[in-house]
Amino acid sequence: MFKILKDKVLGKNDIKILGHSQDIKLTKSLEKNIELFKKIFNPNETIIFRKIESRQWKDLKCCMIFVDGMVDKTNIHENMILPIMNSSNLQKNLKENILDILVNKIINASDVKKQKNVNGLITAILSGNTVVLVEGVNEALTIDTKKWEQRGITEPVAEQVVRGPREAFTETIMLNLTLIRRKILSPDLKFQFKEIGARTQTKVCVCYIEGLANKKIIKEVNKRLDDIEIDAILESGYIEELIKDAPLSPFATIGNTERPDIVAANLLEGRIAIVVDGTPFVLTLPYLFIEYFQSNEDYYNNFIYSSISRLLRIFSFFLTTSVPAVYVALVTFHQEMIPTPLILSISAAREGVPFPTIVEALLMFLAFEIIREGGVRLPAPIGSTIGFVGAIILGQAAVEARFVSSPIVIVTALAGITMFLTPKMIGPVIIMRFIFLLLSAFLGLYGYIFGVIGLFIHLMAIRSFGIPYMINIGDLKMQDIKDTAIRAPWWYMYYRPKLIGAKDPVRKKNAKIPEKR
Amino acid sequence: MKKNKIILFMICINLFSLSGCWNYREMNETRLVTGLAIDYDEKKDEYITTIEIINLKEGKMKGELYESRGKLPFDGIRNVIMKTGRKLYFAHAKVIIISEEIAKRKIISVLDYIYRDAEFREDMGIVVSKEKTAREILEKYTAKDISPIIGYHLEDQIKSEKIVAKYHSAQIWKFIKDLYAEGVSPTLPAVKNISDQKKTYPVLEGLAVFKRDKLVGYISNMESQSFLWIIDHIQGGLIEVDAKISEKLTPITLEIIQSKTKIKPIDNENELMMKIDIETDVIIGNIGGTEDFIGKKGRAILKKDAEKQIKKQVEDTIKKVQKDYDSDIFKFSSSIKKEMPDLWKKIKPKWDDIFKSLKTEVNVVVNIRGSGLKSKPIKVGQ
Repeated sequence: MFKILKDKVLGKNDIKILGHSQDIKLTKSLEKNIELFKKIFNPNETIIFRKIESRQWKDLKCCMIFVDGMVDKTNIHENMILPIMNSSNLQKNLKENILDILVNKIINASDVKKQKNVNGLITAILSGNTVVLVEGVNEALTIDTKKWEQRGITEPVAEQVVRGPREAFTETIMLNLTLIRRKILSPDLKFQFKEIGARTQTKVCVCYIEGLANKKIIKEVNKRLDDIEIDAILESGYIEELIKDAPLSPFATIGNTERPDIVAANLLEGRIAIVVDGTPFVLTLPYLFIEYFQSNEDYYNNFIYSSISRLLRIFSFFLTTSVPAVYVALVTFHQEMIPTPLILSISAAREGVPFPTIVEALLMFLAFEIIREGGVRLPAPIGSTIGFVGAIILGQAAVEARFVSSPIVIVTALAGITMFLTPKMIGPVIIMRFIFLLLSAFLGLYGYIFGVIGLFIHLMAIRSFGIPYMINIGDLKMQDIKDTAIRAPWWYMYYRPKLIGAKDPVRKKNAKIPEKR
Repeated sequence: MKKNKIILFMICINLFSLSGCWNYREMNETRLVTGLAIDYDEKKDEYITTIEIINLKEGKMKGELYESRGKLPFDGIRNVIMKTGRKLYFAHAKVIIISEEIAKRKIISVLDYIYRDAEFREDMGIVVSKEKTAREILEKYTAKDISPIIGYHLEDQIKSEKIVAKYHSAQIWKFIKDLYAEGVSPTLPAVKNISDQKKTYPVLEGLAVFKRDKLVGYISNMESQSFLWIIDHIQGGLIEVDAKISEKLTPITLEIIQSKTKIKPIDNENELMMKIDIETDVIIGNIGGTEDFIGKKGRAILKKDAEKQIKKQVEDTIKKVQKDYDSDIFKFSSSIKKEMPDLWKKIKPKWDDIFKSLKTEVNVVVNIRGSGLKSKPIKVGQ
């Protein structure tokens, strides 16, 4: 038996070791059990095996196994080692289980479980619990002693707001769930745990509000999560990509956020959240196209202002994808569509430029993307230098040297700035812009329109967990558009989003327009 | 399924390979044409085309003239490329100037080219040169500080029709539409050079009156204003009135703010008559004296005198056109056709004769709507 295990552990790296060690059982001999665990973990010096015996009760011999650095040592010392060492013989007859005595009378811990399964014990040790093996029992105790250094709750980095809560998720799943729970004090808020990843055994939690979330979607999510076969989950992006509806599309059909208030709002609309251990980014689904343009701040600010901001974001989405393509199409194919004074200044600027317009545009966008990519992950002081150098070299020097014309710099800058109004869509936007640009360069406005039609066909075809991606577009009922391109005032939003919150559609029963006071 | 994908792929490939880059044209490989002047050389039976091209090389706009000859205008214009070296681009050409010679005899071949060619805009302005040749308008232009490009200078003038209201601009499509219409004759603005402080530049002066497709004569600026009144196309402009209070004539300028004209044919026992009702809203723009024309009494006098004057002006113009040119530029035939289609069928063959002696009744109503910022004339103290 040990040989099989040894082969599995020390032999070829087979990721299924944990799955296969289920048939290995603990024996009644403490020494043999210790040997078993040492074999499994060897060589690993962070695992501590602490053998103790009671001073008065000679039969009580135990061994504690835990990972150094993941446990609260004071806790183990004061509440386990000391009581066991000091305990007298409490076993009144031999039939009484020593483990029960330990649990009930000796160990001072709130979360103690008995476990036979070696596989489960290994996971318990690795996740920071302390396993207590006892002489003469083929069962072990797992005691919750988790404690390690973790990052505190900080302000969100990716989604900053002027008005709204300033807390963000951290890397610890339990803390993240607490942040959600603190916002929704309802017994209907459910957390379902799963462990995904053959090697990492990453904790994944599916959250939803019972009675609001669509049961079919919950079932589908669970099914897709269960179907995942992968050895490691290090970030929620893994899961997002593995369970996505349109795996080849650049558009996201699952949202992600690091803000508890967004997750809470999504849950309250009947959506489902997937919290993954080890990352502050929580997935929300179903995710609709219009959510790209929505920000949590929209719901906290005045509704008129919020509606304007949303329209602005949609407009800038069209600008950032289309301006370069339309410019190239107009300048190289449809000069008659440009007003005369404008065409005069454009052609004066293009006079003496060696490259065709499309090459100019591609060069500028390449340079822009390089600067953006270079600046994204740099520390702030160096990042600003990159921007500065890029702006001066590309903007000024290139135009002065007549490498590129000045209108293309304006076009690049405009498309580049408007891209950041919808920060979650930067990826798709860059791809679309590039495709539109090439189509325009070959076919003019005809090609551009062709690309736009193609984009819309693609978007209309996508579904996110059964919900059409573009559900609110092409439908003009007042209650359906209240929270799309505009944001209606809260007192007017009687219903939850169609289809997503269909189980309990009425948000406000006695809604009325507030009187002037 | 696989077959479908292959077909889809083939369609996408064809999209690029069959139509790819059709009409692709970099802007710095073309030259923008801003204006054309077309003359006719009778001896050689050739069209002389002069085109103005913008040169943007030195960062400053500069007009350049190129001349060429050909059997038809298109042929001539193509030949210009041999001189410029670059393709010409006509979509931003603003004006085409034709000589009197062409207006009198050969306008169709010019119009056909512009109407047929894909690049020309149909809302391009077309004017008749009162100089000996059309080329002179382009050539003698020296007012480069007003606008470096004469084509655009002329376009600006044509566009200010609404404010000046003393000529009627004609865009190519309107001119051709009028040519198509039964009984109607078109007009074109006339242009001539004037010299002013050592600068020479073109100005629009009156209208060239056509009979069908042939130029027959001109009418003056004032007559053009009356013409605009009759065809209900006046949207601004000034009226000069001499009003009389206590036997003293005072010149007054009225500014038109709005005007509406209705033309109605009336068939009075086989005698056709055109009833022209003009209602014009004006404000007093300038009073050339101290008499009060703003008060109730003065205003009534001013109104009456203005109405009288407009009526006379309009009637004179109609008479002149009937007598001298016999050309229905007022589109009376269109309104007859619209109101009395049966009658029009009858009189259509002899319309030219009928028009010559057509009776008109002009009724003018002038509403004085205001007097600018001041409600009183300037008073001179004792």
